[in-house]
Amino acid sequence: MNDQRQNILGPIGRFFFSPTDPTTLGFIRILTGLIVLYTHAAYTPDLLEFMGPNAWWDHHSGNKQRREAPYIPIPIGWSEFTPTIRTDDVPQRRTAEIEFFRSLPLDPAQRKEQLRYLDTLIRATQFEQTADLRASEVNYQKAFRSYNEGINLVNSAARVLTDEQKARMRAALGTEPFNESLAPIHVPDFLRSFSPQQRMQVWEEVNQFSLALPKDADQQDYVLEWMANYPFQWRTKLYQFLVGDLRVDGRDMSLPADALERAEFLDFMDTWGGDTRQAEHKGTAVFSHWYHLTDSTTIYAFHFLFLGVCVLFTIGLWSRVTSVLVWTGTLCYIHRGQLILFGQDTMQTILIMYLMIGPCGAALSIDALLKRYRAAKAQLAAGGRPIAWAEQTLAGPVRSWLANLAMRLLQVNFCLIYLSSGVSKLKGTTWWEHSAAWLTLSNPEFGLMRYPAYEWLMRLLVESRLLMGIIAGSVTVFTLFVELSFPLLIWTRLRPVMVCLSVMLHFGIGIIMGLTVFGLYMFTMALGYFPSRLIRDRVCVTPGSGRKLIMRFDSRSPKALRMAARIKALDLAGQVTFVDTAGHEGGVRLTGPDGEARTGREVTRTALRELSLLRPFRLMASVF
Amino acid sequence: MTVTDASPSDLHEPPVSAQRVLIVGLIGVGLAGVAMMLGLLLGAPRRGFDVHYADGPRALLACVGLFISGCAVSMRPGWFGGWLCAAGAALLGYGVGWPRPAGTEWYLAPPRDWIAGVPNSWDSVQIYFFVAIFIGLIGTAWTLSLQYLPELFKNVVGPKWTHVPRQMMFAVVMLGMAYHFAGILSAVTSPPPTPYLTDHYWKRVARPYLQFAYMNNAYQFYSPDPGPACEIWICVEYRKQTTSADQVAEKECVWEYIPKRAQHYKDPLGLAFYRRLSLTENIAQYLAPGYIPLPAEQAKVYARRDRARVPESIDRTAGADEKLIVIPRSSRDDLERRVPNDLVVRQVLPSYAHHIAESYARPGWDVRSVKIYRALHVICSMSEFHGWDTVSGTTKAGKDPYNASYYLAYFQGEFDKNGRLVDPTDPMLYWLVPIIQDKEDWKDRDEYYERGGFHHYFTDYVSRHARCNRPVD
Repeated sequence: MNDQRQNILGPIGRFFFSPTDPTTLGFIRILTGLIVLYTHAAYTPDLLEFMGPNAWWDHHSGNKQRREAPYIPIPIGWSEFTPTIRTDDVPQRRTAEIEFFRSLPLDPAQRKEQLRYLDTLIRATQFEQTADLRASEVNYQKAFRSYNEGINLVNSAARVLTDEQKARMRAALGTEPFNESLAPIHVPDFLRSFSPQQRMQVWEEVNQFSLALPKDADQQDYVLEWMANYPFQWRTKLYQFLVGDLRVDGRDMSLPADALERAEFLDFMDTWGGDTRQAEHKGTAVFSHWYHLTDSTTIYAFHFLFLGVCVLFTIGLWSRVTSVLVWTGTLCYIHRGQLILFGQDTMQTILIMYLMIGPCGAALSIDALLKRYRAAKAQLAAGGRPIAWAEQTLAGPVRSWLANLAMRLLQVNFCLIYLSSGVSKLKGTTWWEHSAAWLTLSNPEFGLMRYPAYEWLMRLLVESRLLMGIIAGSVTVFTLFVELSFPLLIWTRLRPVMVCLSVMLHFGIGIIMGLTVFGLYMFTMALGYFPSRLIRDRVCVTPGSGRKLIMRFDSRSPKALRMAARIKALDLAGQVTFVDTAGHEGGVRLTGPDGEARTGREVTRTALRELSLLRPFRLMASVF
Repeated sequence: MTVTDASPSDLHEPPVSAQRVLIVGLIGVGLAGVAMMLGLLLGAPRRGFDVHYADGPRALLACVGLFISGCAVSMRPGWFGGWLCAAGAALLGYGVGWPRPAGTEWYLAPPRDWIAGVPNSWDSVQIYFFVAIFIGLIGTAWTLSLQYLPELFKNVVGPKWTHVPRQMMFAVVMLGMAYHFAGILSAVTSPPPTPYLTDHYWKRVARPYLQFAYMNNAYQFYSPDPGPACEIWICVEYRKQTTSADQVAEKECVWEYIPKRAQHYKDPLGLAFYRRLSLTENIAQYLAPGYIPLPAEQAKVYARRDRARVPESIDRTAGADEKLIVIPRSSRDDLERRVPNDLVVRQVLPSYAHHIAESYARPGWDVRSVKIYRALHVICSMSEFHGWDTVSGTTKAGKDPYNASYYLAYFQGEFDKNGRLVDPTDPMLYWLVPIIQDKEDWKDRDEYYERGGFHHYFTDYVSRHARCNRPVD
């Protein structure tokens, strides 16, 4: 599984799957765990404000968005998505239009009766596209004007004309030839060409149609303006939609005739402005128990439970399980708190995801120590008989292809982050003219401007335009250089230089912009480029260090065996020489550097004092 | 400590017995099954998202079930039994049901029964279980393949070919990586103008994965240009509860600024503060560039704006006539009105208003309204900071970055306590409510305060518009 020399996947396979030491991954786990713990502990005072039922992004809005947010289909070919119905974006206008839909009868036949005028108007104001484009344009303008006049006629019928004027209108429409001087309002062109009977009939349709409009004057205006401005080529579809005749690919896409269906349809339209039936997919693939918990005690209980899991993850106990739990838990916070996220949450997710994939608990963890304990116990119990796996475990962390895969994923992702960030900056004018640095250095909300000393320094610097120009230019060019060159140069011998430059960049961002946690995550990610040997040399126990000890134990006594295995597991520096007395001497004896043999609790105390790994806990020796 | 190469299987620690793994795994499956049975026995709703009293315990039980079966996987990852148990627990948690009846595919809650360990009201958690089913099945297939394929190749193709299945597994991992990074690339290139291929890949292939794993960030930090941050200024108006209808209700108002460094920098690294800054950023999303409003609406918007008036003074004596004055317009058309996008208008702002009304509830008082202003804190230019006056060509006192006129306060609406926009046709809705500097700049902060501070130098139309004095300085 681990030998990649002969693999058929070539250099890419070797790059991703060659086994590697998981120590770097273990170190990254510790740092990530600490930052994640801090990040989530920082939620505590604001937990209800960010995650509760009445949070800034409350349950109602969050659940609605998560369940309903529509995704409109995008055709692969040249065709375009055509909505069945178009409504306005402006809230009061859309509300009026939706109220209009709501007020229409459920029965399509009744709707047809009520909206017959719309049909007549649309039919009467059709225009023909001809080979003569100019004539077509003239026809179109004429038809458009006539259609708008027809809509205005409804407005007049509904709101302007008195009963007496309506009577005069009827009389005028009945004249043959049509006598406009008798009409109290302007009569649309299309109506003039009709016979008196037809005109009278259309006038009745107009009055019938006006009854379908909202009673409120403003709402009525909104609906008529919406109809007047409806895309001209889609008017017929609008009518078909309203009266129940719209079919798309054999499917009924009209205004629903069922009361419940219509209510759901209009509710969706009110929120999202589109036809719910046309959404290719609805809702977002997010999960979080915070969307469902309402009781504050339970909310806090889950929160503290998660903080406990973060502690376990950090120390590397049951890390295969806790890494998944931490990944799930952090995503729960992120998915629920969509409005409170910033860059650090992205970095946090990237780190935890790759740690979860890799064996992050294989080194620098309690898991690794437990495995050493099991190996030591097996080896000591074997009485000198070699046990391959135990020897290997005690020799140090086992190389793993999964560790390498996780590290490579982290490295490649880090490069993508820099590349995207750098390239996208090239679109901005301020990065080209170097004012981006000033905008960052003097940002009053993020930056340090609130400190008088910093403001004083900045005022001192701006005294010289040249000096400030050099500083701003240097900061801008440095940022662009690091972000753009990092993905290329990090794979060369310049890797240490690039990592240092990256650390400098994020240190600067941390200080100037105050985005400290973001910077800490980026530092942790940059550790992914550190060789494991370097981390082992700097962080881990050096083999051969510490004073020498001798432990005599009786392998026939389970208690003694356990104690000896414990010491062996913790003896990373190889300080202790183990001697199996095999029944000649009972129990456990630890001979210290002073030559004195200790038994009982003294063994623990001496181990705490002498073993290199336990140096940080030396104080505890006095407690025991 | 030295590092050694692991190779043959005898170099691995003897695994936990399959029987033990199976027992643990089946306990997990059993718990998820119990959650499902409880739902059936207690009559939990099988349709829609209605809440049932046993939902919480059932969800917990199902989650514990999945967790325990996950533990079984971790006990012996190389054995398919644990994975299969995890898939089983996930399946029981996610649930089973009949297909959606024809014609009801678009219903938010389709009229069909859905029986699951995780209650239907916890539908977001069901999504997690759905993904867990697939992971369980992939794990099962993976472990089975590694167990049996080498032997199969050895017997069928030849002994030299036993390594091929492992290489095939690596190839599968590489395909998974290609999917993963292609998804990230599609997210990176998705901000407008979006390439055709990105659009299709993101929407058709990568979206559910990227959303689920929160990998859909474009990483375009401070791009294309670093911009100014925002604050949210909120004015909550209370009305005292009265016992009789004739009694004139007493009114009060309070202001809240989000974020306020002194109040919201709660933890040493200021996460609480920065999270609130994100809240402000999320209402700074405007309609798409090129959006052309309906001409009739545009005319009405301007007509309403021209009619907008505010009281000349808020602190008038009771009974005195209120004198109204015009709110000056800005000389810069591009800054005058900023209409947020649909999501902000219809969901985010109402949610904020609802949160504020709930958080600021006081016994004996009703929250009458919540007025929200988004205050864009413009960054002063280098020349302004230096004090260079381009008109006169002289150097004056440098501008204070916290000069009140650098705050461009846009009125986002007045909401009731339920988060409903009171008047969508409010004359000042989404318009800039100015803070105007009337006097020359001050030399330093001492001079500023000596001369009377904010009220000496500025005319604050925000307070007048809200009819509530805003705390300044």
